[in-house]
Amino acid sequence: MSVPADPQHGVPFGVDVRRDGPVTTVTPEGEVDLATAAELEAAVGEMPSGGRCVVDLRRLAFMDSAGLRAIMRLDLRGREEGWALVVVPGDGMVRRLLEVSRVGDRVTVVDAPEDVE
Amino acid sequence: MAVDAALVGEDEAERLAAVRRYDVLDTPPDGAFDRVTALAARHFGVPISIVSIVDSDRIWFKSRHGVDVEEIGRDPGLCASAILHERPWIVEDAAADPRTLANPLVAGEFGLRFYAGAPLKTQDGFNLGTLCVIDREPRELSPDDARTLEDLAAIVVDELELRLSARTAVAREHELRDAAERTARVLQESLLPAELPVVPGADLAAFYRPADRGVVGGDFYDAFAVEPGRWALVIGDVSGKGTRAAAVTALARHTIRTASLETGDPADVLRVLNRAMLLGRDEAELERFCTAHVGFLEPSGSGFVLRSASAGHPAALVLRRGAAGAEPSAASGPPVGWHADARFTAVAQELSSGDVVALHTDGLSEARRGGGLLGEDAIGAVLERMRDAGAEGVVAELSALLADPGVSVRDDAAALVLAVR
Repeated sequence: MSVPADPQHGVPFGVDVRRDGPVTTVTPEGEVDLATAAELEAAVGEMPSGGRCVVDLRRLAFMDSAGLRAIMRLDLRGREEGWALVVVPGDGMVRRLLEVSRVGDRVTVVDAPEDVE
Repeated sequence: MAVDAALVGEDEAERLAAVRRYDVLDTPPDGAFDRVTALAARHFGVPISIVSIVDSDRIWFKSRHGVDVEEIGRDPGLCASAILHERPWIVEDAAADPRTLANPLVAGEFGLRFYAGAPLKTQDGFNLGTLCVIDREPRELSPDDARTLEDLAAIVVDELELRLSARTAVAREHELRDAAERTARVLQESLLPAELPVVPGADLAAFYRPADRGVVGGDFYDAFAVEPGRWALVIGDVSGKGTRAAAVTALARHTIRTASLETGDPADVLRVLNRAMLLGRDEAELERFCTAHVGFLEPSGSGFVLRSASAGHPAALVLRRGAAGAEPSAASGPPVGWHADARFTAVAQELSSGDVVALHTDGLSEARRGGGLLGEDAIGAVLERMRDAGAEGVVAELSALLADPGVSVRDDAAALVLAVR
């Protein structure tokens, strides 16, 4: 499923979700903003206790504070439900946004999904 | 012009009010009404059919089939007589009818002989005018034809009612929107300082632009003297918009103000703010994430020192006198309201004459121009261009940047600018 994140610039938002045992990998592309952050959050779905959710942000063209809030909410949810959140920020503006917000102090941040222990 | 009293009903004042309410006088020709007059002329086999509205001293034609004049005086107009009746008013041979034989339209050049007019009766019982058919030959109108004329008049009224209700709905929508905007503005103003403090040796200016004037935005700024010789400069962004965001903004703003009275360390202020935002989060079911930049400004030597701490907020931009390019301040920490382990640290910057500092929210740096973001570079460019124009000049230029038709702003935007004189 995909919706245009910003019709003006025609970058479609979409989320790819892969479930492999206890590991769910969520890969959004396009732009995460107020219009699409809820969709990113909802894409995580049911998570097993002890599981791991990898949010791979490397294909994003843009993410704003609404996307950051989605990450914070997923962190809170994971702690409550007993699963781990891992974020792959890639380079560029998404990484800078996560650095400014010190997301790495709280959430496991890796360079690639394979890097997760 | 006085109108013959015999042609005026007892409820004339109310009737004229109804004519005004439907707001149809002197409006342009309209296909819906023209179709009805064309249909009436064809059905009855007459050359002329008119939708008339009887005004105080004239009869104005909303639709006229087969005649060029747009209005006539009320006195000679047969429609003025027709609206005094509940049923179609019919003159089969006007030249022989004592009601009309002296009428100038009958006796004069126009040569009217046949007239049948059905009143346009509104839901509340006022006859606005008529749908009439006219011929220059005498004619008869069967009871069936009279009913058809009434039905066509009812179609005209339905159309008028439809337009009135559409106009009323739009007007009500505008009223609601205006009321929402007024409420949002009042609430917004209560969350922003009424005026900025006077800082000897520096000037301060700020702007705030909500993404939607009908909704309270989630951005806020504040500037106040904590004590003589120490000022707080604050900017922040709470999650969401509207009244819930306003409640969180109020909590953040007042917590920052209160904490600032107790400590000279902006990192302490953010620690207190973080605890306040986390307190009772579950009970209130309110998301209370907030990014904020808190700075304390004090005189130092011939300039100032600005101690800043940030909770996940876009870095303040500092343009040094004579320097090309603004540098972001290094303060950073997580947004408040997320977790209790948050650590904040303050950084101090010496500011001297000619230095400019811009605190901003991401609505400004993430506004779009062309295919890309404005970014901090665009803000830095404004600082460089306007550095000699003081804080007011910088703010005016930032505000103008967002007003540019080529720039689309998708979120609330705010900036607080300090220029050292």
